[in-house]
Amino acid sequence: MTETGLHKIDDWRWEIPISFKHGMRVPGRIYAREDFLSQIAHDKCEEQVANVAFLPGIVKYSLAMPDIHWGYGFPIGGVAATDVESGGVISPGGIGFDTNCGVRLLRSSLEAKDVVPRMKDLVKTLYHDVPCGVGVGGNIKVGAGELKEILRKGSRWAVSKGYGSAEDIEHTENNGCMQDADPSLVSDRAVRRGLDQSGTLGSGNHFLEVQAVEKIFDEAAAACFGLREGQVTVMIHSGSRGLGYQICEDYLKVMRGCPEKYGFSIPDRQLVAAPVRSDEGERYVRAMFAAANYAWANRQCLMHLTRLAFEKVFRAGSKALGLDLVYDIAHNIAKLENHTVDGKEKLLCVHRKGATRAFPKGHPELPDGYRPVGQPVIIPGDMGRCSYVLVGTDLAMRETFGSVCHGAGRLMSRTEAVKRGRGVDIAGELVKKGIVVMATGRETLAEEAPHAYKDINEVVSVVSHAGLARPVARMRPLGVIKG
Amino acid sequence: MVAAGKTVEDLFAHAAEGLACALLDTQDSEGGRVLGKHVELTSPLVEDLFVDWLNELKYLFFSEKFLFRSARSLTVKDGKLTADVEGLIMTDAEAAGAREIKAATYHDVRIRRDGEYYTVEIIFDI
Repeated sequence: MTETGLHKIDDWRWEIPISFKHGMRVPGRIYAREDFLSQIAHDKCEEQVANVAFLPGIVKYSLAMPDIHWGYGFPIGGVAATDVESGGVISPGGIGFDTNCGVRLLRSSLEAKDVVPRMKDLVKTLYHDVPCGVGVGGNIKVGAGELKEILRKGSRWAVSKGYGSAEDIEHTENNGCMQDADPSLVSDRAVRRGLDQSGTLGSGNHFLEVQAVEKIFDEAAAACFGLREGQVTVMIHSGSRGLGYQICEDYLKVMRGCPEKYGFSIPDRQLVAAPVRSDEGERYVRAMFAAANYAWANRQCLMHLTRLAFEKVFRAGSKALGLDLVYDIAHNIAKLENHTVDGKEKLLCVHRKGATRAFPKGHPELPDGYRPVGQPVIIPGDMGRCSYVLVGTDLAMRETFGSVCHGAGRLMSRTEAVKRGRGVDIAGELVKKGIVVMATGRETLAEEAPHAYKDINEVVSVVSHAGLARPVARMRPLGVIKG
Repeated sequence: MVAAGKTVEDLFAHAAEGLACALLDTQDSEGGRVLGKHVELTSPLVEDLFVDWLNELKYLFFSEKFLFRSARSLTVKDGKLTADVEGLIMTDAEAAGAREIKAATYHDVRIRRDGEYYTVEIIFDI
């Protein structure tokens, strides 16, 4: 046992026993290397994993992925599933303010060696044509009525407006639309914040990155996903913007009295929750799904703008440039999914807060073309190192409700990153590595500097060694735009 | 952010000033105009009122570019907050330089009496 009370199961799994804190309903489990544990203890993450174990209806474990870092209520990198038909709850704090923050990856027929000489021009065009920054509105402005169509239809709305194709929808988690979304449960305030933010990147850790595939680890899966060494790819990271933040805030308020009303206690008020099968729970699920749809439409619009920027720079159509969507994943969401628990199939509310769905081959929710190999799991790293495509495994279904990490995970707070970055020319350092960066936000580059993050290679090695996912491809950044 | 005040009302006003500073470095506006707003909030718990107050001001900034400057006749009593707040409507360019604050969180929010001061630590999701 470690000083912080973690039991070692093997080199990649650490357990927090139920005796760690009075009130835990299940043990905690953290996927990590031993040398990650000091940072986990420093962030008091094991305490947060234990707190999540208080949620009514939680099954098996309160889980944390190797990119775990301190969050609000749930840790970032937290996964928890509750039994819907046995009083299981849904907690907005288990999803986060940025509902359906996620990542999509486009492949291309372009070779890195041909694109690198034009990278400055490309990054400049992307920066100009893809709206980014705090509260920055986009060119896709809609009225309240049209916005409700976005909330209902997600990516389908964007495609119906000409911002993409049917293939894009097929290659998006849940086909880019949660069917049970109900826009009538979204507040006027949230609607107002969403009116001009479709097709906007936002700020903070959101980005658009042009990459080169550096290494293929799994030839068969890579071929299935259309990836090969030397190829240019584009990664887009964004979410539901102000609309999603507002919906989360609204329903945290709605649920404030629920622990008392439904007779349970929680150690952190950011973990307020309501039974999924309650008025408050059902309303939140439907409103949160509407935010998820907004995020999918947003990333679809961002991809459309990206394709147009490539067309402008390379003077060719996006079809000719082969700019096809590999996949789009959500990494801040809760969904109702069927999983096997103690030999029985159960309907679970799976919270993934900073965690990625990773379904294995054969899963019925995968597109036909990917079913023989499994789901592409897109894991962005920091802007100075690399990113990965993994593929889901059967073991992840058994151990983590089909979930893995979502990124590198922060090593330090944004404030700390800015302090440590004082006097450092971060853009200049990146240029030396051959990475062109443009950012709009105050201190964004310092906050998001590579030293602020864990090494993505180490994080991915944990999920790989633990058997939760297999590496397929590694991409290195060539050009980045940030809000 | 840590805020303090000799009264609960001072604490709320000082925290609002802190939020404005966290949002933008510059509290002045070249082309902006001054505007007054009336705010009313209710909640049985004073900590919840505190979170609601900051989230209300954050909403006004991100929806109307209204940056808090001061509060007149701010009262926090019997589960109700009322205030007449004065703020600056920032220009688009000024607001674009803001830090994105997603929300004030409930994480470990406790208003404490520490000698002659009320204090609180509030964590923003940024």
